[in-house]
Amino acid sequence: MFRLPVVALMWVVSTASLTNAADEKPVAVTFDKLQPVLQKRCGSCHGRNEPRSGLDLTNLPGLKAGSESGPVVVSGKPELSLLYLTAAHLDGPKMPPGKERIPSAELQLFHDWIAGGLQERAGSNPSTAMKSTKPVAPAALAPVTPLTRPTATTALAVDPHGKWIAVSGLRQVVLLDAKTHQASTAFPFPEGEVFSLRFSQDGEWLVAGGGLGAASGKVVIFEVATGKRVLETAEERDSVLSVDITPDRQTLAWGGPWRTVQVLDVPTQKVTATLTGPTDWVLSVNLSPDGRLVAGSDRFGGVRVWNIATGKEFWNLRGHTGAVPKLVWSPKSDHLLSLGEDGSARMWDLHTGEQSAVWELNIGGLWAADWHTSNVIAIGGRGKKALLMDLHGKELHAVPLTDEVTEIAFHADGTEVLIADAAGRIVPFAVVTGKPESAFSLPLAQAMARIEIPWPSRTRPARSAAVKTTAASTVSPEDDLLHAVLEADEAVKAAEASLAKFRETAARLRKILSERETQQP
Amino acid sequence: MKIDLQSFLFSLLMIVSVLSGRPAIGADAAPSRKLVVYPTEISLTSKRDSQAIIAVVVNPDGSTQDVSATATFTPDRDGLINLHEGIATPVADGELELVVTAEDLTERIKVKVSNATDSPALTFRNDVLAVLTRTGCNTGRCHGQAAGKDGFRLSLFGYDPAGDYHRITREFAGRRINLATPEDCLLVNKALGKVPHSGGQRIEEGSREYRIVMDWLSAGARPDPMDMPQPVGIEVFPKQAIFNGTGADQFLMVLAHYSDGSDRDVTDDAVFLSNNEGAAVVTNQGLVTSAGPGTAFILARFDQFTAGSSIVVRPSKPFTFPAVPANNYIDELVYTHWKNLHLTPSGLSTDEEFLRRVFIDLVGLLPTTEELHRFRADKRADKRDRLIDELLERPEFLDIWVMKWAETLQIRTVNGISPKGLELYDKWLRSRIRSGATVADILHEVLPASGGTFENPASNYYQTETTPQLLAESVAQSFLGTRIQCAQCHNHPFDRWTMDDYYGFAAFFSQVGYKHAADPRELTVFNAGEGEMRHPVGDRPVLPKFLGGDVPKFDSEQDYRKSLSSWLASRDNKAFSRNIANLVWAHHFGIGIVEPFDDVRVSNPPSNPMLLEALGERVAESNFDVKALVRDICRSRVYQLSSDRTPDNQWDERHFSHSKIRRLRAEVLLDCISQVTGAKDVWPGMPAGSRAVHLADGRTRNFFLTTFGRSTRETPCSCEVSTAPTLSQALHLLNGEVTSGKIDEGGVVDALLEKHKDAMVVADDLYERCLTRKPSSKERAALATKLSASQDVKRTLTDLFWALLNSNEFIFNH
Repeated sequence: MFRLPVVALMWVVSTASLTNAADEKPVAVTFDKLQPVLQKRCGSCHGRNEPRSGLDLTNLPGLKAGSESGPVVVSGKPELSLLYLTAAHLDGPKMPPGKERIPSAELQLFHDWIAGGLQERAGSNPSTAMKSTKPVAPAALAPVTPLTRPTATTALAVDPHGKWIAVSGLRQVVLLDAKTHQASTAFPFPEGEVFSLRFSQDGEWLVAGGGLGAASGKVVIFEVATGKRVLETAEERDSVLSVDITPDRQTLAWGGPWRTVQVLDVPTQKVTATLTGPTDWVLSVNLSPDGRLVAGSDRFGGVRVWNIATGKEFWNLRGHTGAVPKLVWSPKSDHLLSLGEDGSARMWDLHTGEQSAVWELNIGGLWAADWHTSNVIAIGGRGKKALLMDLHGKELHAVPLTDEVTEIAFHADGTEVLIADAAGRIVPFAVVTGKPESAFSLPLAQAMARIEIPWPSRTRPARSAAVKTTAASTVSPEDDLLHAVLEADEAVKAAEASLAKFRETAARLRKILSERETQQP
Repeated sequence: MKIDLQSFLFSLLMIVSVLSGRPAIGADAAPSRKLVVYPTEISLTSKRDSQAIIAVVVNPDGSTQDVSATATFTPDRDGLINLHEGIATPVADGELELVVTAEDLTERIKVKVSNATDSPALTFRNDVLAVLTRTGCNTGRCHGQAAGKDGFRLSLFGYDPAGDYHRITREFAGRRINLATPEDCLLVNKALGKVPHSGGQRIEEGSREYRIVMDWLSAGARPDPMDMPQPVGIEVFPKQAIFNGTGADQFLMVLAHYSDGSDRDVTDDAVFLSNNEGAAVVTNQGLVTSAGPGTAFILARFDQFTAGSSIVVRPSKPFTFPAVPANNYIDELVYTHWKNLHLTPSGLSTDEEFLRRVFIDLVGLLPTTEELHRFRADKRADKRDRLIDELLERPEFLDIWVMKWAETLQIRTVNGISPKGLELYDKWLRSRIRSGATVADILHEVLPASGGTFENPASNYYQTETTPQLLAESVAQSFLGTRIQCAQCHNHPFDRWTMDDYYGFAAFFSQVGYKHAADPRELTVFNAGEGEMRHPVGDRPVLPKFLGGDVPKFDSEQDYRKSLSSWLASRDNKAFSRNIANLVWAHHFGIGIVEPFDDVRVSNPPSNPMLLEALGERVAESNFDVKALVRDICRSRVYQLSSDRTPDNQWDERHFSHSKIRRLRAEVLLDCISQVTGAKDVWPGMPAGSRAVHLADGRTRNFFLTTFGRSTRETPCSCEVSTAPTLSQALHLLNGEVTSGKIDEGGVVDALLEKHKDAMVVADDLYERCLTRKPSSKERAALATKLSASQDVKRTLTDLFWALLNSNEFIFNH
């Protein structure tokens, strides 16, 4: 870093105006304030997809890991931090390349965050900022946030004791009374949208997976009785799409768009395996009821089964064309049912790895399913229909719906199956009577009004700065005047020079003349 | 001071031109200035509607001046519309008239306002999709890729609105959009760059695009109603602008027409492109600025449609068109075009230049010294016309056109065309052309051809390509000058062709059957009478549909191909006749009126549409006999211009104001070298005395021909014939055996020394032989010095011969 002294000097000289306030008392800027700026200004190159120079600036661990050529921030010293220097155009390469410097208000955030000790979020201690910090847990229980507009139900689970229905809500997991269908309480999930919910077999824990698309994701285990967070996994770089927990609560597994399945040992909170193989987003992750195998499906027709203990691939089950949104295990762990966007459901024999049945169901792409221990299987599709079937694929009931099916879950006793759709409705279907009951949904606030475009305020387009006008003379009147002044100056100089010469000549002649006069008597 | 001087000089020039009795601008009777407004009728049909008014003053010299920003707009009734910078927005329902005044000129626009307080729900197809296209989401580099980008796919430029709607709203319910939090969902966060996005930030928060997406999401992102009016076409106004000089502006306005008869100003939703930024540039809001002399086509795209505005930028100095005679209708049409562009032609070529040019173009050979002397001695006024007529009757003229048509038919040994089949195919084409068959006659035999490839050689065409898609692409490109390949997978982004057009055209070849004949080298082509073309979107059957034409009715058993050939090679098919005319034109000028001549599209308009129209009519009139058109072309003064540029036409590359210097195509170059050296080429399987232009097979291997860019006939592309220079060409001529070997082999220097005795006369002869001219006095002086000092005169003359063959003057037609 031979250039540092010079740079530091430059820093002192040229950033005085930027930092006049900060010099006195650094404002506590936390990473969550800086992150949107990094995302917007740097994210397209230094993002998670093949970041330039190996530098990922869209999340804190990536930023702290630095680039291929080393760290980019020095805590407390913006004048030594390349992140700041390159963005401030105080050092090369100027960032973002080929563009103007980012607005000084944003640059100030860079400066203050580094000067303030790289704080992760409000309340985190600057001195320990380099270590991972335990976040402040959100309040355990919260009131249910009403929706402003019905939206797709993305996750649904029924408590094995038959007391609760857990549903994806607005940045929260909403618990509804299983009998009355009334929303009762909620577990806050500020991490983002909830895409997957599972109760542990004993009903004590509720596992939630989700996050913010393309930004972050997490799995959280809640204690159902108190809403307390039992466990939080490390942050993923995209939303978790599917999560599961073994009946003995020892193993947790999840997957998402990053194409691997993570397996975590719950007691030690350590990730024991990262299972590879899927060639596209992982859509469904399911642990076998006997706790020995984990199955994962992807968006490219892939269905794989791995051995949890060894982390090795057990079966690669090829058959689907197109995405496989959902997998379900048989209660005895000897069969796996895969549901495809291609409209087929495929039953796989885990002893042989062979396909033991293919059901073409004619209810559109299949999206949701559940398998009850009484050996009734419920499957829902895009064709606005759900089917209840026996193990041989015989149709027991067909349930017409008003929208695409997104989630299906049986009550533990098998008397009722809940069918959720893309419009946020949940239809309880009584298996015994074979009749759907009245649908329910999350509480709605006063419906959101349409955010209408205001009056058109069109104006005539202006010439863009890129348009070169070769026509109008490139010489401005000022340039012209300046040129004339210079010309005049030149002329004055020349005139003065020749005047001097004439004076000299005249003087010499005069001298000669006077000499001659003196010589002549 | 400088400015004063400039304007003084300018006014002086004006005075001079007035005094000289010739107006500086516009030689014809001065038409008066007039004001033109677009649109002439405005219909505002919702609260959200708006309409920009374009007002243009057309000057007596034909130039146009955009007064949209300076004109005054006066409604005859108050309270119905708002006007801001010439953009009308609705206030209350009713009808009114708008008076547009620019200086002393006025025009009127009828305005009708209805549903002024209604703001109907936005639709995906008509509102949101335009945002995705305008912000570049669905380009081929981004989500428009066949496999999508980063897990999200959109149809390229939005050719599949229903699919795009599904992928955004439902493919992963709850992921891409969240109706409960429209301002904070993946679609919006990605577009705003709030979350990592390979494409970075595409829209600004609060921008028009942002508000459209937000309005649509907050209203529930409903599926589009079934009865929603669909766009059926767009128009760009003004359709033409003529700028006097650079730095002038013109607003463009794009009007979309819908299936219910309504229209909408979609300027803010369109994408703009200029095809010649050297002449005119355009902003993404449709403001055109002239940048330099020339013509440009400004393309606007909205929904599936492409339309354009043609821009002429004249040089910014006074213009006088010289008094030059017009030999025929071609000259008249081209002169009109030049006057419009303020372009003056170069002078007439010399007799020697003309002689050499017309020989190379018409018969693919150089004039012999005897022919040169005869032409030089001919003092008749119409000697050029006589020479043209003479050349047109030579068999070598037909040889050139057999070669050209063999290229368009892609005749080569491929897909089982055996050497024997190829020989029969070539013989058939040659004898048909020699017996007077035109390209239309050939197509009437080739396209519906059935039978064994030996018994009916025309059926070999069905072996050059064997799938309906490739056959359709070849026919479209070779004979209609239209590249429809894009439309196989998506609607053509810069033209009007859709996937429906593509598969409809390919359907004509969906019933071609093949079976083996008795001879294993022969194949029988027949009309299977069954089989259908299926559309990849929805896998539905597609009926044969003429490209840009109707869906013909068929009786059962009828051969689709018969109906195709009678539609295609017909006098009524303007696309065909224009294409043949353009192909002939390009052969004689080195550049087409549409360039390249096999890439006719909305976004690549002809440089002179009237001329192309007239030439097309002419060739159709003569039943596609090329000879008649070639005669007209060669007789025109435009063809006979010098290749020397003048300061006034220095900038012109596309408007034929001077002859284009072009390298001889590979076959002709080799034939000319053989001709002047007296050497003979021997071609395998061809009779003695055959020339390179006679080669039947596109796959014939020959290093010289390959190096100089002979067409392999692998594709229907005009780019198969290349006259681009390469280093290996230069090296091959300098060091290869073709030049020096042929000089030795032919023994021309010996024979000439024998004949003339005098070395200087031999040198003259070599100059005339190779360059169709005598050496200049400077060259002559240098030669005299060299020859008088030479120990070995033959050697020196051989070196001279070699140098002449290596000169640009020899290799180029000028």
